[in-house]
Amino acid sequence: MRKAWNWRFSVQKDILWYLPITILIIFLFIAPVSIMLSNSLHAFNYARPSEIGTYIGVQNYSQALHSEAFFRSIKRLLSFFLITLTAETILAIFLAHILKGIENSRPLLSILLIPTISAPVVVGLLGRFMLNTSFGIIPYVIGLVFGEQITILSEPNLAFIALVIVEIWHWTPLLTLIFYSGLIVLPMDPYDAAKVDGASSWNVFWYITLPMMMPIIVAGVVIRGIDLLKIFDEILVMTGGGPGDATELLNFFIYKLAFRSWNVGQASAIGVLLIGTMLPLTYILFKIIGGGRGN
Amino acid sequence: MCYFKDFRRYVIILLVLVVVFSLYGIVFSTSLEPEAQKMLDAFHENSAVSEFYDQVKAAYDGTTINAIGWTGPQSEGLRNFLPVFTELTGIEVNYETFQFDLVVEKVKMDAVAKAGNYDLEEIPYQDLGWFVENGYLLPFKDFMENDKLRSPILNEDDIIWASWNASSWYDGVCYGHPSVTCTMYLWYRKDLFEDPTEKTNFYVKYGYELAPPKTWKQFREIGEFFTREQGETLAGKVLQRKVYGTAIQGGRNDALTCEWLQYTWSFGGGIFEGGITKKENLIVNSPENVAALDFYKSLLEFSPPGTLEYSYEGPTTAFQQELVVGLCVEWNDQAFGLEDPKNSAVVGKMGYGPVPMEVDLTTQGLSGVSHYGGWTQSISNNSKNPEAAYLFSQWIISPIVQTILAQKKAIAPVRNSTYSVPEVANFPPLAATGPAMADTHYRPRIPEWAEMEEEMRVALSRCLIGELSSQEALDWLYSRYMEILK
Repeated sequence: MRKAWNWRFSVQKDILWYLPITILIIFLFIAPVSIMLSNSLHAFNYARPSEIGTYIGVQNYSQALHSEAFFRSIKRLLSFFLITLTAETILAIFLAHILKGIENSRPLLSILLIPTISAPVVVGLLGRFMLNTSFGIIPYVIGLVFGEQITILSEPNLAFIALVIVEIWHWTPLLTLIFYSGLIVLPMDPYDAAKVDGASSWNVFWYITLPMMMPIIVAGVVIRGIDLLKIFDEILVMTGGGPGDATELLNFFIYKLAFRSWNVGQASAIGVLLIGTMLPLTYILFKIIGGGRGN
Repeated sequence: MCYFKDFRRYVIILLVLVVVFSLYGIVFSTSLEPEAQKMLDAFHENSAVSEFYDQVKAAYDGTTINAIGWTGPQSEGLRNFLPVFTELTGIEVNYETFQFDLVVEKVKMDAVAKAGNYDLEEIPYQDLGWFVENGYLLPFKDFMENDKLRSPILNEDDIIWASWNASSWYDGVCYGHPSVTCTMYLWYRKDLFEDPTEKTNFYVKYGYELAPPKTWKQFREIGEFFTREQGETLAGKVLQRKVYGTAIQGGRNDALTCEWLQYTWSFGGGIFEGGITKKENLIVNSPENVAALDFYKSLLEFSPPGTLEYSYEGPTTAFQQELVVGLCVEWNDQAFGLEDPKNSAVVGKMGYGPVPMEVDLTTQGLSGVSHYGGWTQSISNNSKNPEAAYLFSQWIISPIVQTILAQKKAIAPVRNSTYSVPEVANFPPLAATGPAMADTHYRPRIPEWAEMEEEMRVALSRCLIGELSSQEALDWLYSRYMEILK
């Protein structure tokens, strides 16, 4: 009897313990995704009011998968993701090393973090004003140095590169902070042994520091990687997806479809496809982190 | 102890100052600014109008409405006079304004969500079909026929019909009032066109008199003529920097599609054959449209480097700063900035005229078509105070408000009579509006237009940056439109 009561009490305690997080997950994830899934299976194009709410099966998915613009936006997003993440990671490792070598580097770290604490919209606006051909400081200085006026936001490749650079400027300090935190708690024994053996700085970095830092590097890369796939604010404010569709990455494409063209059904279908792709990817990445930690 | 006593004294002084300044703000903010008082007095001069607003105040005093509009000279001008409306009717107005895309997004989201956050909404007229077909707007018929809501000076016959029809009438039903009478026409540097040296040089080079162009060929040649390098002369002065003959609104935004449509119509092209908005009537990739886009793109050669980032205000700023010294085709309300002595170096130097044509037909009494671009003051079907919203809209288009705002150069008025007021008739950007409204085209107002316009931005932008030829861009647009339309 006592055993049964203990068991029941234990189960009730577990339910109470997990209830808040379960409710949160339902409201923040399951419910919105379910609504999005439902929308994706119905006609929700406000340009065709008489059809709104009609069940159309996978027609929205079919239209999305036959859309050239959709695949172009994915291709651009992947390019943006790979270039930005690689550059940020390398730069952050480099900066973390420099900071570690400076005594009392906290004030410097605080200054370095200023871009990261700025809102993405503010960063986008800064980018737009500084890169504007007519009155931006950057084209003006480039014009003075090279004697020829440059248009950055009007050229598709330059606009894309500008977006990459703005993103790197915005978020590299965060990655630097993560790597620095990992760097300063590394054990000193391997370094002492390497010093005794007369290893060069590069060998110390490549064979000791990097392997020991790998779990924290992977964690940082995953965090930034997920963020990069969500980029939107800077594009909206800085380039509006242009020139042409050079900076129309996937999230901006979905926004345009949902809130400019008001084809909510098709936008929902793409959203579901995106979540369906991201979930297993995130699972795999966290498995890798778990594996890395074990090593 | 002494320090604490001093500190307490400072806190008391600070509190007293805060209270005094707050009271000052409250007292002085309740009295109207002189110009607003003048407007209020104008309403009270007419006893019938005064009586009407007394009745309105008795019925609606204490009501609050939310209005949303587009940030521009008209909204900023109107904001200064909102206390007059409140004083007349007792209705408080919370007036929000945003840039173009954001207004549209907010109003549409409010409509779809049935939130009813806004009572009076300014919507771009080309979205009228989207709102009406989805059932998001209240027809104005009941309001207009309600004697208790009808101002004695409403006088619908005085409203510019082309503006009202395009902005507010859909399938024979009225859904609003026109907010402004925006139209495109030719801007040109009149002083340079009249300069003897420039006239002589132009005649030598092109073989005809320098004058506002009647054809697009002349337009291009004038643009070329006024594009000069640093060190060359302009009207006898040596240029300290390069200047350009024209500018286009080439950024990927609504301004681009509006501007290109103006060129398209002028070349005899369009979106739908005969204006019949059916799939089988699509002519977006017609030879005329391709020719218009080719011509439009060719103007990049004589436009400043930042022209592919320009939105509505781009050419205005370029002219104000004399970066562009020739001509362009632009909006009438954007021309107000050119005559603003605080910001413009070309006050009194600009001329405004009809849009050029492909072929000169002026001898047949014809002139170029203009692009109508007004907004609609409409009432959301989720409005909690639709009658109060209607009263606000009616007040905005009243002769008194339209005249005063036009005199302040804050609006392109929606009433015919306002254009006869001396200050308005003598203000060049407004004087040229009437003739421009004689023959206007407007964008399709079908529900699909929002998506079609988005695709048009992409197609035009990709063409202007050289990614696609004019034919490729318009063929792509045609294929997209065939998917979008039923």
